[in-house]
Amino acid sequence: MGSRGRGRGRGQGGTFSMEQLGVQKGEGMPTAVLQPPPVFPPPEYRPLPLSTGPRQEYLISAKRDLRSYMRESPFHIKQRSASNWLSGLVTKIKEDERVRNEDAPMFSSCCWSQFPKELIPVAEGGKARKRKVVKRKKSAVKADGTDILEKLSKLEETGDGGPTVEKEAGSDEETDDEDDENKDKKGMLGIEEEEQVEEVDEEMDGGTDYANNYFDPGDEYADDGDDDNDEGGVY
Amino acid sequence: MSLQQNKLCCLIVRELFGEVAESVTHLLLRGAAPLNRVCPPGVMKQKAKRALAALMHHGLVNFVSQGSLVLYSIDALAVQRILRYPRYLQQMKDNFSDICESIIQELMNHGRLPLSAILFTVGCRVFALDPSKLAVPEIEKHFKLLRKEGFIEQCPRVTDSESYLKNNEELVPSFVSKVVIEVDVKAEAIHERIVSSAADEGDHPDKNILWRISGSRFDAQIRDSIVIEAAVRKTDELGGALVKKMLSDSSSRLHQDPIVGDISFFVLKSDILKLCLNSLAEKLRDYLEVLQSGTLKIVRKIGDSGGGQYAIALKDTVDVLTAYAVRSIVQERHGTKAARVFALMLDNAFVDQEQIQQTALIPAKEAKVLTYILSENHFASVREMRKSVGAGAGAMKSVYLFHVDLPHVVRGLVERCEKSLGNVLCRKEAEVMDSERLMDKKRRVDALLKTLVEQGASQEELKEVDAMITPPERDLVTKVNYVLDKLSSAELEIDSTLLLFQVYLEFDEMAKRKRSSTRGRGRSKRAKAS
Repeated sequence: MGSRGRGRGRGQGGTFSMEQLGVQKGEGMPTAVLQPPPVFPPPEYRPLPLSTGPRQEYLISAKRDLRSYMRESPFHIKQRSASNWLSGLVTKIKEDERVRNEDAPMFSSCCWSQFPKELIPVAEGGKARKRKVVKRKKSAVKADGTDILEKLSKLEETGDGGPTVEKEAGSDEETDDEDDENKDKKGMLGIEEEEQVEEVDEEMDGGTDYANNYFDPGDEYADDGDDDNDEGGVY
Repeated sequence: MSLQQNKLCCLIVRELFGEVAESVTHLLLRGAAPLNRVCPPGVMKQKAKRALAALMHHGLVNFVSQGSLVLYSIDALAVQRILRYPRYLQQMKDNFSDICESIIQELMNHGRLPLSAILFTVGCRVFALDPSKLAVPEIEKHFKLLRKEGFIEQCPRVTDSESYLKNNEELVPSFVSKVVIEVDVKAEAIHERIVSSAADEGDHPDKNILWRISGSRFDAQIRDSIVIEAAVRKTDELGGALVKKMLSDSSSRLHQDPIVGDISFFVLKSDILKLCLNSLAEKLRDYLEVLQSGTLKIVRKIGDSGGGQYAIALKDTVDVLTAYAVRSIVQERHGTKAARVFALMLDNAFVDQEQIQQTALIPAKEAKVLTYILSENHFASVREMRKSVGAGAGAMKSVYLFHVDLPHVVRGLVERCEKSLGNVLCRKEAEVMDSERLMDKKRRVDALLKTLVEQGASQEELKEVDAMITPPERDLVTKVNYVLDKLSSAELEIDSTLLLFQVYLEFDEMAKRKRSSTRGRGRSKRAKAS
């Protein structure tokens, strides 16, 4: 279209002869290609074999050592991936095994002083929060389910029940009181208590704990410390 | 930073430091960023911080404070060096001792350590092998040697760690300008602790003075070893020893110069006699003669005083070796004939199609195909030259000249190496993921067996535990391990090529900078004169 007005130059610019590209007349041209090339074309030449020998063996074993060391070390940090529920469960189980490893200090405390302050974990704060949460869970669960019955009846009375935040706060206070009362009981109950935890936990899922990750077993729940991004696990 | 390099860095970090660190690395590779921009979405901040600290501890991430922010940046070169760690260890084993190797290995595993912790762990290792050989002062001597040679360097020291941790005002610690202090470790106490097999209580007197390995020094060491190997291939072991001697005189510097180790003939001879290489000293002249002839000129004569001044032409050697490496890559990828055409282009700066056909003794049509393949794969570049045929203007004829722009080709190959390294690592990760549970089981059974043996369990019990892994599982474990080893081997081989290319590009950059600076100086002189 652009060359329409310039009649004279058109013949030269628009076509080219095959001779210009170095193809002689009468030489066979390749046939038209009607399909895309293969994604993995077979290599024209086979690659050379890898070198072997004691030196190479040494290098490989050194590599293996470094790898296995680092993977077991506290430097290796795994993310809880929960793309589907099964893999989420599997990784969760594995993580629980690893928890000890991950909580282990990466290096002695003096090394932390080499880093910017924002990176240094606040050990005390994290611990306090953890204890609190565990307490709440246990106490909410232990009293033969009476707690929950009470709460449910209360909810029925109030009808709509008001905003969830209030409910949560209420149950928290209650459970804390309960906790103090039942302190000596707890020691005696021991294993029974644990069993109850599992039983009642399912009910709790609909109640106060709905914001938690479904696959979180109660005791290790607060290990993640910072709960900024913790809500709404992706199932 | 290229895309491939970024991907490779992410994969390396993933392999050793896990997924969280990988996503942190990915974000850091975009450029220096503060903490809240480094936290990947969907990852808990605590974990991201931990990952960042782990990377920092291993010297892969650095920080600077800027106003009220702390900016983090990643050192991609340091990340790539992790692939080379086995080679570093091998250098230690070859040139120094097993103890040096252990020291370096400890530092690689832990990132940074105080001297007494190194002495303790290495001592434990020696003690486990042979209790009679344990000598902590001996290990300390090895450590000092490595420090003198520059393989180990001191981390910047915090001025006052106690007050920094207490003070909430300071965002980052302040560091003392580099002072190497003599560390007084209580070698005897460490010795006692190892013998009594006490646990490492972590309270070291020198806990504030940390050490790490110096990657650039190790790279220089490997570069030297490449040159030495070239000399061995060109002559024999004695020639290699000669080059090694010449290089070692200057290896205290990180020699970035293209020519190193200026030494006179007689000094060299007396040095070699000191090394008890009498046969080499007798034929020294011949060896030097051979080493400075041919295409691969490792040694260069740079003066006549003192029986002749000789030096190692590092840059020239690396250039020639790189050209050879590229040539063999062409040969393995596109065949002998393509390699012949490529060599032709490399030797004669510019050649046209006619010349190629005639000189390479390849039929015209085939030669054209080969030239096409070479330029298609960016091994050859084409330059168009227009020359006027007649005296008058108008009749122009284009001539296409082919040539090899080696730095350009090498840059392309570096990219390719990084790509294939990335592929290998990806494959490795997939293999590991596929058989993760099986490998976990195997590891657990092994650990159980170990504890049982320690507790003195009976043969039957051991057998029973051992049978927990079924024969098909055992086969699978061996198979996976075989595949992983093969992939590791490929990784190492690619990396050795990559190192050569990187050294070449480094020298090339340096030469370019020098050229431009001298040109700049010339220009300013001229400006002054006018």
